[in-house]
Amino acid sequence: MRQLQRLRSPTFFILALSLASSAWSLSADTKPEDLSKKQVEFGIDVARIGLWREAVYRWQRAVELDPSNASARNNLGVAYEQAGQFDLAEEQYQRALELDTNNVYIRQNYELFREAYEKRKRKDGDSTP
Amino acid sequence: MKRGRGRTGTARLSIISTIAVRMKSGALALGTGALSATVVSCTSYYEVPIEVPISAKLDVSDFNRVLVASFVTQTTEDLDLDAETVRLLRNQLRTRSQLRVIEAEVPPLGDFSETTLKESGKLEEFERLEEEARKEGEEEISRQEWIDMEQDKLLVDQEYWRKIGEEYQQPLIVSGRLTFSSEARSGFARGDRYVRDAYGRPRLVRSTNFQERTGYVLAAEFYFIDGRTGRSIHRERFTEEVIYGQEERTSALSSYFELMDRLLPNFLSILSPQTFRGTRILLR
Repeated sequence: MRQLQRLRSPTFFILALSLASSAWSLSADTKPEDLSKKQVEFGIDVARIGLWREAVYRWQRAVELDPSNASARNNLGVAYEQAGQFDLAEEQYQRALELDTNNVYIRQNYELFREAYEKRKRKDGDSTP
Repeated sequence: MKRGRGRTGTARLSIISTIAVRMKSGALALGTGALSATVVSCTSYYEVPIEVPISAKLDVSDFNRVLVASFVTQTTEDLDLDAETVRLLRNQLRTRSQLRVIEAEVPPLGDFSETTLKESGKLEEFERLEEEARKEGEEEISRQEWIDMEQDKLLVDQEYWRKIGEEYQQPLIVSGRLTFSSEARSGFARGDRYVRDAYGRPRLVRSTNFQERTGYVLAAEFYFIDGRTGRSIHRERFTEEVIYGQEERTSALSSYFELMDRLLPNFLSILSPQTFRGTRILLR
C-alpha cells in the first residue's frame, strides 16, 4: 500500500518522467560527445536513487563513446569506490584529473579517496602474518 | 431556499476545496519539478553519500569461536592492563563480530613492568647477562630489547598456544603485547586569548605559555593465533597518544579507556567487515 502511495507521489512521478525523458533523449542525439553526455546525465539520475550498477553501465558507455569525458571518468571513480573496487576507482580518478587538471571537484574526490585508501594501505603495511 | 442554497454552497465549497487541494498538490508537483529543473540547469555537480564496504583483513571463516587470551604487558601505571584489555576486547567482540566469544580464565602471560621484574628477580638476571656479555666482548643490548625478546618467546611459543587451542576446541586466539605509560609533555605552547581594551572592544592577544602537561601512550601489538596449530597467522601494531593539561587531572584508567576507544575500530576491522561513509561529487 505504502509502495503504491509512493508510486503516486509527485516526486516519484517527476523522477520517472525525468528518467523517461533522459532515456528518450539518449536516442535523439547522434554525435558521440553528445551521446556520452546524455549517458553521464542518465547515470547521475539513476545513481541518485541508488541504482549504482546501472550508473556504472551508463558511465562505462559514456567513456566508450567519448574517452575524453572527464565527468564520466570521475563518476566512474566514485561508483567503483562505492563498490569497493579501489584499484579501478584510482585509475578512473587519475584519468579524469589528467583530462581536466584544474577541476576542483575531481581533485577533491581524488584527495578524499586517496586519504582513505592510503590509510587502509598503511594499516595493511603495519601487519605481519 | 437558503438552506438549499446553503447546502449547495457547502457542496460547492467542498468541490472547490477538493479542486484547490488537487491544484495545490499539482502546483506543488510543478513547483518541485520546476525547482528540480532549476537545480539541474544551474548546477553541474551533485554531492552524493557513499558507503564503501571494507572487508575484514583476516579471513576468519575457519573459526566459529574466539578466545581473547592473555597479553604480555608493560606499564608505568597502577592498572591491570591485561585484565582490563581482555575484558574490553571480549565485550566488543561479543557485540560487534560474528564470532562466539569464549569466556575462560587463561593463565596470565606476564607483566614486564619494572617493579614486577624487580620483584621476580628477572631484572637482576638481565643485569647478570649484560655483565657476562660485556666481559665476552659481545654487543650490548638495551633493557627494552631484552624485554621484547623475552615477550616474543612467549608470544610465538607454538606449543603453548597449540595446547591452549586444544583445551578450548581450537578457536581463534587473540593475544599480544601492550605497553601503557605516562610521559611528561610539559612545554611552551601558544595560547591565543581575547581581551577587551579600554573601549570594550575585543582584541586578540597571542602569547606563549609554559604548560604542565602529561601524555599517555598506549602501544598494542595484537597476535592472532590459529588454535589448531598454535601458529601466529596475523600480527598488527597500533599506537595512540593523548595529552592532558595539568588542570584536567585525568586518571590513568580513564586515559587507557580513551585510547582503547580510538584503537578499537582498527582492531575490529581485522576480524569483521566495516563500512566507510563519506560524500563524493558526481559531475554532469
